[in-house]
Amino acid sequence: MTQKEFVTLTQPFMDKIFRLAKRLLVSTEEAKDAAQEIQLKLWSKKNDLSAYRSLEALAMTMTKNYCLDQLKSKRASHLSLVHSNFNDREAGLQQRLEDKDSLQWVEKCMNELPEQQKMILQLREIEGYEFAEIGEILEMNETAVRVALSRARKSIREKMIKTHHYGIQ
Amino acid sequence: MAFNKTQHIEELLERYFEGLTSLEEEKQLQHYFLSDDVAPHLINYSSLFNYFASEKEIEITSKIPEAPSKKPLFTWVTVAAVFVLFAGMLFTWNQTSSQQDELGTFDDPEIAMVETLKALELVSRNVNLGMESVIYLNEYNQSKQLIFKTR
Repeated sequence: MTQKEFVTLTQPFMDKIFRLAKRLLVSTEEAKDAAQEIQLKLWSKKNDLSAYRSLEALAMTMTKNYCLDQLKSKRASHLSLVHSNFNDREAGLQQRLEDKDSLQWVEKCMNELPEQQKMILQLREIEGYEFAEIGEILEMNETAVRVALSRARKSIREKMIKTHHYGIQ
Repeated sequence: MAFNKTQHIEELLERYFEGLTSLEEEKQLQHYFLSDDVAPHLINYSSLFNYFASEKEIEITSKIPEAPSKKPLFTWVTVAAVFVLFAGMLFTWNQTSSQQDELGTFDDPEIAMVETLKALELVSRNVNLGMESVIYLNEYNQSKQLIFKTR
């Protein structure tokens, strides 16, 4: 397999890998590192890629495992996540700021969820995967995915309701 | 109609939070909340769907660069440059060698004689010039003999 073939094969889901990694690792730089790492791993086994049913699912599973490993090793060494992309919002119209603000709130709510729920939300809401595909990627059964998804959505809703009613009730 | 639509969305939302909606239904929800026409009591949900929609647009910025392909144009320019260089060198070399062919020969023997004498005179004058500067060394030799009286 040449480099060009490999790139055309992996390019369609590199963004998805990056987004999933960013969801879990928060930092853009670390997410880029993760995406690169996954691509390297895929490249190193480029000759038996055709044996897998879905390359994308394989890559997503690898991303998941890699990111969870990263998080685990971080926690073990008591290092907090260091990232520089805390705030890169440009100033704009009042409305736009408010919009962004409420979007940031959603992000914050989502970041507070446990990793598994984060991943399920990411895969379902943002990448638009079917339950079966999510199950394959996360190595869970479909019902468990459905339950976890429902839980994640509800807990985001509760957090948001608290936010919106803050200071009013 | 609008009432029915809102009711439909509410229903979908309920099932959405139970994790029972299909991707198609979730698309409907997203479409509804991204539009400007959201029922006031549901407006709080719109930021959720807006967020998901905005997250979809994040892209990894550093795509793998393609292997740089050598442009054939550049290669041809190099070849042309080398060719021009060689042509230039050949040209100048030819010119200098053709100049060397003229050795300054004369057809008339008398003029040749005069020219030869001139040339020899020049040489001898230069040789004498060299000799003059050596003469004082003789002085040194004489004074040495005075002192040491080797003879």
